[in-house]
Amino acid sequence: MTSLKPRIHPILRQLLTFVLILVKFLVLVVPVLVFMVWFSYKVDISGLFQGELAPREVANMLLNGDTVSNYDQMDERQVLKLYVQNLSEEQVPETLALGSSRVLQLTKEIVGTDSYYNAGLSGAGVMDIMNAFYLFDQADKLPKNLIIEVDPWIFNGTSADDLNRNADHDLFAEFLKNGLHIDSDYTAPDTTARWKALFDPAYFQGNVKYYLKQKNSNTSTNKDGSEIPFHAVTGDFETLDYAIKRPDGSIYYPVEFRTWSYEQVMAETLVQAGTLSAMHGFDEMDPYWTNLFEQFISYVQSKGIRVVFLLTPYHPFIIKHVYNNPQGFAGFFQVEPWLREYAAQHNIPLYGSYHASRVGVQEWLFFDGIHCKGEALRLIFPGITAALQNEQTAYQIDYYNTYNDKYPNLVSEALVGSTADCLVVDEDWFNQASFATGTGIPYSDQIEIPSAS
Amino acid sequence: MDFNSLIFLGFFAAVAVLTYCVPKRIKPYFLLAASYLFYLYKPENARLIWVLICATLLSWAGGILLGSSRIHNLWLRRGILLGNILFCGFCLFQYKYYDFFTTLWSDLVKGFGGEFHPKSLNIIAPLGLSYFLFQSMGYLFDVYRHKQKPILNLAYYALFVSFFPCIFTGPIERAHHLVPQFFHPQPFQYQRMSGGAFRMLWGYFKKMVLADGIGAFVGTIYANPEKAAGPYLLAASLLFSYQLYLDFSGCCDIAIGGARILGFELTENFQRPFAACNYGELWRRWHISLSSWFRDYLYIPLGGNRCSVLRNSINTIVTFLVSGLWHGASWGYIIWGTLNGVILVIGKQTHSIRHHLEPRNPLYHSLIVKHTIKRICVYLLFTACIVFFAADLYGGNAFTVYSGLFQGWNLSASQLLQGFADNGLPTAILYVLVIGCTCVELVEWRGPVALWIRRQPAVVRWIIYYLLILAILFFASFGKSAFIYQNY
Repeated sequence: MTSLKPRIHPILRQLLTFVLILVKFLVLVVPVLVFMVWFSYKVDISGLFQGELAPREVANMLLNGDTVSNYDQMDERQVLKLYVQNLSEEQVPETLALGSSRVLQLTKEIVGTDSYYNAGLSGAGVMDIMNAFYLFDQADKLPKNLIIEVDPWIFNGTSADDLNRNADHDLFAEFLKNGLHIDSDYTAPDTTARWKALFDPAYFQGNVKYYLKQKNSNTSTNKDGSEIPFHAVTGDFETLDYAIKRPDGSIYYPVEFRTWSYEQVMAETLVQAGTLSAMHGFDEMDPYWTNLFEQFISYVQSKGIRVVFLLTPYHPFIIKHVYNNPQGFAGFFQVEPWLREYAAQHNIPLYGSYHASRVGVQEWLFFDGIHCKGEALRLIFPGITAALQNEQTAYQIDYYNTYNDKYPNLVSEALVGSTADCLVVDEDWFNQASFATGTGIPYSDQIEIPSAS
Repeated sequence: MDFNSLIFLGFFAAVAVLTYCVPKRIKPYFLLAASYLFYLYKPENARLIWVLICATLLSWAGGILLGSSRIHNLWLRRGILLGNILFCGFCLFQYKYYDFFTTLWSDLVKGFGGEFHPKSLNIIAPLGLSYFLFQSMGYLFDVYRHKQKPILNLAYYALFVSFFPCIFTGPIERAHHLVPQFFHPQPFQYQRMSGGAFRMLWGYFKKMVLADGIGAFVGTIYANPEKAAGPYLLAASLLFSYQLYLDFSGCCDIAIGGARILGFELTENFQRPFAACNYGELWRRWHISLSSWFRDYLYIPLGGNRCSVLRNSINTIVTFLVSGLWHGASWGYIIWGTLNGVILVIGKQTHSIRHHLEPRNPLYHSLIVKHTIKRICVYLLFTACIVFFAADLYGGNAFTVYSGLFQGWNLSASQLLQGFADNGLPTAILYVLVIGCTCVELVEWRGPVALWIRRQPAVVRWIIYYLLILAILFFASFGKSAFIYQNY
């Protein structure tokens, strides 16, 4: 009796068997492996891919449009990194603000667009500013417009190390090499270990435990089980006793700080005038950092991004103090004229001034010696659309109209910046000016203006 | 290279594929190369490779001489055997027992008022030392007793000594069982391969999910027994017996399954030992390859049971004492071994009385109850001895465990559960362990797991595959725990 089975060559049969085993093995293992990798990637308890848990939580809340509590406990640099990482194409802001904490009061209302993010970082030096930009650049999520709040200290070579101590030096080195094409000590990090973690069952188990723990409790926790102190804030922000970060990246300070009395502000200003961090030894604008700044601006413009400079004012007392004690601050006085010249040469609109008097920002518009209030920014910045057309602020127009004839010398002096005295602006005029400049609500209705006495 | 590492799985997969690609005659040579590669993977093993090579060469040459028809002189034959045994004994003494015995001697001298300060060697023993030396010694004994023809092909013999699935943790193979398989390698068989693969998966599940799951708790308790309350000490002791079984039998499952994939059958090392109804039976089911080695090459040569009661008792105790010493050079292992021997002797001596009294025990009227009671008694006896083993393994003190057993029983149920969780056994894991251990017992009760799985419908089979893989993925301890018997 002959076999009905078709005859297959032994080698072919072996090959088929091998293929069959391989297929079965793959069917058995691949789904499990894919699940493991996907789960580990999504939960990522060690933050190898999604970033550390707490900053990730903040970034995701901001991206969800939530206002987040406890700003002062945030690792802002990490938050920004993860914010950019998780930013969807639709959420890429048209206008981005860079700078230090001195720009963090610049809200989307002041800028005049919803497609805006304030990427200001407390204590930012030039490295932080460039890094922040590079994060968006690297992720191919560049804005159309860039507001750069330029602090004078970024040109102070003496305190550069101190200023940049919190910055991500590796990222900066990467930007120098890949962005500005300047030699740096950057070497691409070895990501093998990171990727290996995805295939590590022990890492998967850690993620499962963390995930289940999160699911079973109402509070978010860190890897070590400590509670993540950030949560979405709703309702009335006015009475909050902690600082919050709004979805546009700007900061709203706690009620205690916002409602400091004149004496408290002055006391703090006095302290700040005494220390003037990052400004000491500022004998001249450092050629290296100045050059780097220029290269950075050229790089940004080469990407087709329209740049606007914003100089946020110092408290008049600080300026007065620096004028009266100019030793070691020569560089500070060089910055603004140089910036104005540079901006003019490169067709970059520039708004504001370090000299509060030049832009009519009075003492009561300061939180402390170096941070002015949002109302002050509204006075000195006309919104992004107007700024890109190099329009004057409504305040400027009104100011000239009102005072040019009456006090030509004072106006002239103020504009060239040879005095630190604050302009005396009468209250009625100020309200009219602010009405024309801002949202249509006179400032005096929002904030109690201290009496001149 | 540990069995429970990804690198081993990759290595094994490559060897398994290639072993069927090379011609049959080349296969043993290829496997020998793979075995040495496996052994050399860890640098600490590579440094001591000479021990393996010397043991292989000497016992191979010794085997040829012992098997030679030209050497008839009994004393010469004995000399050759003794020379080899002395070499193996020297290696074992040097790497495993030197520090223990010199310390012992030093204490003894001190006890008599003398002074002796031996220099501690504190050296790491080559991995699998006891296994490959016992394997080669067993071969020599067999050749000496004309039970085994000498193996002339050095490569085949070297493969027998160093065959990688069983070099680290056994089973301790006999030449007459394994070597003929090298001469006649099996062709590829899908069913054997899939059975072997399942056996490996089963072994990983037993080791990495169940044994390591229990081990987390036992290790915590035994590391500091003075801090643990009685209930935890009792639970840890009871669990350790089963942990040890799961750990070692899981390892053997991996070794046997792996060898089966490669086309070789290894000796079964366990036959559900805790299903034994008496202590002797337990030892016939536990670590069979070692027990039978001691039986054949120590117990029987000592006189076995064909001698007086006293001599037989001594033979039993000596055999178990040596078995204890085989596990490690410490008082814990010695006491453990001796206790087992004593229990066996008592069991043997009281057998007829117990057998006579059995019908009068009302509980024994039901066969299930009778067997259950006997199994519980056997398990408790085994556990009572294993405390010394566990204490040595985890660095605790067995007497502290015993004295602590009666303290701290005033805990509430919730406190008790919390204590388990705090000591590495949370409720969720406890459920997994209970379900897992029950499944293991039920499946193994039905016979060889490879056969059992083949009897299942394809859908059930695949569900079981996935369940085992997912259980390993979710609950196994990765990269933390080596096999317990790997240390010996």
